[in-house]
Amino acid sequence: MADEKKLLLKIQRYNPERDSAPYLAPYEIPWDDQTSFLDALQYLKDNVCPDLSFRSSCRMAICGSCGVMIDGAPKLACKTFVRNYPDGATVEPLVNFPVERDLVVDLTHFLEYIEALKPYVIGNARKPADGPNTQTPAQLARYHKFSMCINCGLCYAACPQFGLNPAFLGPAAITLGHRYNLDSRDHGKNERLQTMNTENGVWSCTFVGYCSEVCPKHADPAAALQQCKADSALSFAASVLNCKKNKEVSHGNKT
Amino acid sequence: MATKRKPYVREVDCCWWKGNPYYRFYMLREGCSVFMVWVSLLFLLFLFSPSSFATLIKNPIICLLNFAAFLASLLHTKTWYDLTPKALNLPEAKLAAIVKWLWAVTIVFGALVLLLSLF
Repeated sequence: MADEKKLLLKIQRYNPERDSAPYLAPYEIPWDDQTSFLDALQYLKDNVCPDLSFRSSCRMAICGSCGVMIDGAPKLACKTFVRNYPDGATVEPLVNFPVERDLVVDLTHFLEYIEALKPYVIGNARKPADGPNTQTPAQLARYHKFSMCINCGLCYAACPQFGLNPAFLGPAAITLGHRYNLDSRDHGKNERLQTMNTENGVWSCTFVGYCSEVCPKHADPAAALQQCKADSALSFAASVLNCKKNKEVSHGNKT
Repeated sequence: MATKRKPYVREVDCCWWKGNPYYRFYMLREGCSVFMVWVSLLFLLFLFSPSSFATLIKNPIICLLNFAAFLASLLHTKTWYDLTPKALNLPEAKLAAIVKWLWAVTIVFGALVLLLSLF
């Protein structure tokens, strides 16, 4: 054990029952080439500070639970290796979210926005008896990239617009909505566009693009946002063109 | 039992973009628009007072400003074309061809404007 390699990690700690503000605490961890940041956090919880709080589950970049800031960049702790930080690193909770305790953040906003964009098939009247609802490879390719999202929240930590305005629906929620808008089995695009077209919808995005850079599954939320802007603009143009027609219909109903 | 939750909210300060190279480049990209305002003002001057415009553009400081505006517009064009594929849901091969076409049209149009202004 004496010749074990050691690395200094500064971890942000915050106990709401005791602390008025978060602070950085230094910890030494043993490591080798296979040690991930999640392994390091688990080592500390098991051996040094049992009260250290962090979220994790699958340990293989599927569940999206262990998002943290490592040296100021949003990363999945399970997918980021200590060997790439030979001079040590700082581990903090995801920015742009309120800190509940240590590395655990409150994701309520994020989850509500996902729910608001209805990421499920809408308006498909097919019954199981109708058989499988097949798609061509080209139809799948239209949305496949966007379906990779694992709801880890890294893109929200990367988005300065969400940091400045927490009412912004944000990258992942809009990406998931767009994924269903592009699905040939779905008919709920107009329903979702009503939410996407709002002030805190797609137009709050200024295309910083860092969300796509940090996405651990390469879901490319920045692309989804820009494509939604195009859809939103077309929907606006269509609404203007239909305005006169709708007015005539509503006047006709009144009389 | 009363909750012991006390979520700590970290404020975003006005210098949020300084600590990250990606954000700094984003600010530079968006900052190019300041030079576009300058060029628009010059064009307005040309419309309302062509003689003052002709005198003004010979000033070395104005020449420097115009050269900076030219570099800014080049950077803006490069970043804009690089980001164009994001807004289009098309196969990779088609996107690469579209970006090449955008550059081809820009270069041909730029050369045409240059020729027209010289002769």
